[in-house]
Amino acid sequence: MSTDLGGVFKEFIGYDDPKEIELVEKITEKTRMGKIVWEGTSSSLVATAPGMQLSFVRSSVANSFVSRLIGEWEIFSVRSQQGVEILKVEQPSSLAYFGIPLESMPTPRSKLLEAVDALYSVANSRGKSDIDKALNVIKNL
Amino acid sequence: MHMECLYASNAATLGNVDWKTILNCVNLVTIVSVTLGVGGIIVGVLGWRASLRGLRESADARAREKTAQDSANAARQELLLQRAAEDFRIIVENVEELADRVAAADWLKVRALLPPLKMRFSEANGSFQKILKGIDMDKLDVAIRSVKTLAKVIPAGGAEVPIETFQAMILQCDRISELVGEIYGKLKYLKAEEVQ
Repeated sequence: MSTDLGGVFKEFIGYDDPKEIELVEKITEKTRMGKIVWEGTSSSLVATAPGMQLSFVRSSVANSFVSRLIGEWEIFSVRSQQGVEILKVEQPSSLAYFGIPLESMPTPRSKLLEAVDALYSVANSRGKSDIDKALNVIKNL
Repeated sequence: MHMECLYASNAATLGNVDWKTILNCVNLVTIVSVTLGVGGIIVGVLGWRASLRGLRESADARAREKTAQDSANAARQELLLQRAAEDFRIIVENVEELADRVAAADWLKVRALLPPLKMRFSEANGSFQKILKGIDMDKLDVAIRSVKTLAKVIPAGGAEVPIETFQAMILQCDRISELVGEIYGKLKYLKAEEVQ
């Protein structure tokens, strides 16, 4: 899932590095405060922080009902300005998107995935708040 | 003159000093020394100038060599980018064909298209590490994952596909198409200097 132990292994044993979770939570906090500004396109959300590049690749099911099962984003990554990967979180693969029923109970989302979900939600809504601002400007003309 | 100096030294030894002759000799030695000194300075200055010119020429030569090397590197990088864009154009075409075949529910053809597409993606993943940066590499990852997931749900034989699955497959193809299209667009206009 991310840097140290390798994605599959970490996902398998359910291990989340507390520092990674803290990093994601801090990014969420700074996004809420408006100190990190995200720019969205149909397929991605990107932002820069001093010395860092942050990005989400959106899932094809973003904003649809299936997104509750498999998430609205596919990959979240934090890279240094030089492009060195600091943190990379991938959505676990799932066939639920194709309407194929899960063979067993869905595995609970890890704390790191939940933290990234929260960040995506905030980052995405910050993008929308720009639309709200533009709408207000137009309304007040 | 030399003989006079010799005589003068003999005379001085003998205590009969001829000061006029001695002063003449000193003047001569001074003139010769000064001339030699000035000559030395001139030669030194000329040598110094020559060495400066040599240094400047070698610096110019080094700069010219560096410029030529930079141009060669830039040309090589441009060529690499062109090749990468060309390779990616083929991937885009393959994805478009895959999307068409999925939409037509031509599962036999879809099955035939998937292995070469997966191979091209793997090649791209390996060879574009230095070209694609940041989110573009993530987009490539997502496209590869999406193709792999799609491969898992292609029905075997003449099996029926539920309508939700079929719609999701079409959406998935659209997403792969969108992602590879974006990467191709970026590669086409990427300049050599933007790539390390």
